[in-house]
Amino acid sequence: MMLLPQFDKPVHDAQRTFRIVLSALAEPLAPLALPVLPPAPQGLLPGTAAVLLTLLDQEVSLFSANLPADTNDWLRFHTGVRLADTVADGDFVLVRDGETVPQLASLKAGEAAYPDRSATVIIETARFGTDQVEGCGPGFAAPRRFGASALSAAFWADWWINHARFPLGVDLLLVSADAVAGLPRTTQVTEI
Amino acid sequence: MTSITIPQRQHWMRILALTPPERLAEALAPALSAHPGHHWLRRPETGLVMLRGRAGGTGAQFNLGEASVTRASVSLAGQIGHAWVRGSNARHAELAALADALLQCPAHHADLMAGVIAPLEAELVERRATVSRAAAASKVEFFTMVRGE
Repeated sequence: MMLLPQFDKPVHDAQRTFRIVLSALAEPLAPLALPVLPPAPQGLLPGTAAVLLTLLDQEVSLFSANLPADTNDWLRFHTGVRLADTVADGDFVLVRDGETVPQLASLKAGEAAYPDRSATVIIETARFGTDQVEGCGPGFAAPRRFGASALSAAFWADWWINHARFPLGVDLLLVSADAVAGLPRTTQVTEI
Repeated sequence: MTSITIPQRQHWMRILALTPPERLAEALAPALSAHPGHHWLRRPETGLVMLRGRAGGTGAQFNLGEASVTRASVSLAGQIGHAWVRGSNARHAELAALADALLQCPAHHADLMAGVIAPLEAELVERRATVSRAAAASKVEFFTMVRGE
């Protein structure tokens, strides 16, 4: 087993990445370039590695199906994250490129008193586009067009169900090799 | 894989952690200059650990107090070295982690055990004996008091 290092400057690099992730959720469906890319372990895109190192710590759990053992070790060594047994237990759910996005209703959606106790889904995508949906809602000065190669028409139909449960529901981060886009539960989409 | 057991590794990690950093740097200098290629998996970081004791050695557990601890992890020559040392001396943790990695290499294990760890252990025993003697010499016997025997 050979562990890879994490960010070169763990504190500052994670802060810079966190700022970008915040901006991505404040301006949904606008991909933003990630400022620092750590060496990616097997089975993860560099962008995903950056987002995971930034968001995970020993107080949260992550669910990911079939993550390579070395990558599990890398995540646990650098972040201290717990690995969830089922998709319904994960505070964070990682969907790698090529995997099917789980039904959003099957994930932690929070409680009426604590809607923040919901899952955040991190979905890897090969590329972003402008060909699938038009989004509007909080954070949109004007409707924005968006697409991601990892998302299908069935996903966008599922997204409506998630949006309708507001204030409950899950939030999404879409990550490519070097960029991140946010899709919070407040965003309304129409297919084009 | 190598046939290093956990107690063996605990043994040398203990000696590395208890040796003063200046002495450790001096003892490891020849071995480390021969192996410049390493990368840090976890640069030294200092935190607190809670020390717990038992009343009378066997009673209920209680929190004795917090101690600062510095840890580091390094990848060197295909091995991963870890170190946790008391105090906030980052260089001490780095040296101990580098030494832990080298000690796991079959090619260097025997040399380092004989050339570095054994002398450091002897010094550790000697320091402990000196302190014990100094403490014993200052012991006061109160012969006038009833001691219960």
